[in-house]
Amino acid sequence: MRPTDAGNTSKSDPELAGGQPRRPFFASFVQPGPNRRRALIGWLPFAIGLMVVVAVGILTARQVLVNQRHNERVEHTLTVIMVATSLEGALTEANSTQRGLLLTAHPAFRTRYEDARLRTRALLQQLQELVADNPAQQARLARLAPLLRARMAEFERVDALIRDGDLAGGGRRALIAMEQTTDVRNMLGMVTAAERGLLAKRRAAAERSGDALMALSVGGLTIAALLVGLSIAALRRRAAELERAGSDVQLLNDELESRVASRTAALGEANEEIRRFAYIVSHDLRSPLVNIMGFTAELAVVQKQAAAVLEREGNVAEAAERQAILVDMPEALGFIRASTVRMDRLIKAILNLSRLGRRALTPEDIDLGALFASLAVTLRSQMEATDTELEMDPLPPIRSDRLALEQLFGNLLDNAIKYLRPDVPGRLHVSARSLGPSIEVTVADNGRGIAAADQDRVFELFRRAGSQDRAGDGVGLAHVRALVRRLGGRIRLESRLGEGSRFLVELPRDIGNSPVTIENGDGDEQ
Amino acid sequence: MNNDGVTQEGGSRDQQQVTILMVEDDEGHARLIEKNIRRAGVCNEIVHVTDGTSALHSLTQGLADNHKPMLVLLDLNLPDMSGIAILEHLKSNSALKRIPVIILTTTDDEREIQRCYDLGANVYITKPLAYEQFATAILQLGLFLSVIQVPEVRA
Repeated sequence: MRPTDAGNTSKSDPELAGGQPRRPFFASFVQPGPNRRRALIGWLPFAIGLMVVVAVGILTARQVLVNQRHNERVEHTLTVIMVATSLEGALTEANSTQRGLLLTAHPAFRTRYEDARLRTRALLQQLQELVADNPAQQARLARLAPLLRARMAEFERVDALIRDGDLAGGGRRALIAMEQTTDVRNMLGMVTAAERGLLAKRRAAAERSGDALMALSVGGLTIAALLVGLSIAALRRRAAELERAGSDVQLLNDELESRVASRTAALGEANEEIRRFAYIVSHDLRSPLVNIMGFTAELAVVQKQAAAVLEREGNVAEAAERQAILVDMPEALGFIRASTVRMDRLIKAILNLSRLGRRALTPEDIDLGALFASLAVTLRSQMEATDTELEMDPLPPIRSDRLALEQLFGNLLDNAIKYLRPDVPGRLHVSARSLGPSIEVTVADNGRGIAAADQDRVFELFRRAGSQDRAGDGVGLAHVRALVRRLGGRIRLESRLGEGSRFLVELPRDIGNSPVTIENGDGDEQ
Repeated sequence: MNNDGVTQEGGSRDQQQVTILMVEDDEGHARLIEKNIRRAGVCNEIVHVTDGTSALHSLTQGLADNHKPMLVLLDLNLPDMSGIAILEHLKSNSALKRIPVIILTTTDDEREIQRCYDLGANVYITKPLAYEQFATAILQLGLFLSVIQVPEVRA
């Protein structure tokens, strides 16, 4: 699942990229192609989902902190209320224990009284510390403190009276103490009430904050889940697309292969049809030729009989008639015969070419040097007549069809000897070089050469080049080319008029490895 | 060398009974073959048919019915069927398979020749272009015909 793969193919194939001109390599990363863009769209929900999850996380963490602060404040308020209540309680206790002392002078009350008194002070101090952040409460406490101090001073005064044993004097101050206590209580009540008001507000805030946190979490997670779902769906779609594309490619591939196979088969059939056509045509052309030749011969017999009659009885004919029978007729018959013989040769050439494709090739290991040497032996008389020498470089071994090679190189040598320059001794040179799985054999001569304009033409059937002073039908090189092709090779010609020619024949080193042998032995000549 | 007449009753030699069935669609070829056979001194009856159907008809109904020994000169390129088909038909028919068959055709393809011999052809002669060769071939055929022993055809 690498979306970049699809993007890369669109870069390398201009057709897939919508026929756009090729961009520089790096540009494909900067400007994604359509496929790449689609891949990105597939990843987009996932990325957004990830971002949302992170954002929700951050927001939630922040909200949790806010919530915590709200809760702390609520707790703080509760503490303030508690401390205020405790202060009131301590004051009340101090009040009642002092009254107990006044009434009974029991030492147990003194202990409790002392304790309550100390606690009152401590609690006030605690309360003052607690509301240090709240100026309104501080103001209230500032008003409370003197009231409390006054109340405490009253406690001291009554206590001093009690210690002096003036219990009645202490009892008389009870009214003052009660008023002062009420003042303190009222003030404390205001503090507590303010704090309760705060508590209600802070509770509401904490609740809102909790709700927000909940909403944020639920909402965020829902969105994240949604986007992850979308992303999964997109990725699945993408995967399905890739799979489909893969099977499409496979399908196209198969189709291409079968198309290649059928084209190859069609080509093979067409080739075979041409060969059969050549075969049938040339074959059927021979039939009338048999008649022409046959009856020309019959006419020749008749002419001889007529000539014999004229010989025997010299006076039966006019001079013109004698001329017609003794000269014109043999001349006409001679032309007919020569033309027919030539036509037969041409037809045979076509027949041979058509047969070439049908002969099964039999690969064998061949020493090219020995092959050329034996060809030179068969051509010796022609070579001696033209003062020609054949030079040979060391030639590599080849695995091919012997008969085909003999015909091929025999034709080339024959051709070279045939078209030498009359004033220059012939020099034929055979060399070879390796071309990977092929061998290139070069047959060079110092003959008359072939003009550039004719260099393609000479390989065509019945076509010749240069001055037509040698017998021939223009079959040899056509045959050579057909043989080379049959062997799975190719032939080139390098030549300059008046300087010589080089025929470069490229042949597979081993025709067993060459596809041409597939069409061997088709054997359907009916 | 006076040898006209498409059909000519034979003389007194023992192979005169043998009828030659010439299956040849080209009239010119037929005429040349016949002229040369006659030149070779062979004067058996020659029945000429120009297509495969008539050839098969002659073989199965016409000539064979008369229990006459015969010999077939067969061209392979016929308008209605291949000479090979006629050869196959002849050699697969128990009553006709002993009839000597001489293939006389333009094809000199080795496979074709091999195929004909495989099917049971007795002689294969290629019609040569050069008339002298043609005449020689027919002359040899004539000599061959004069010595060949043709079995009687049983219906």
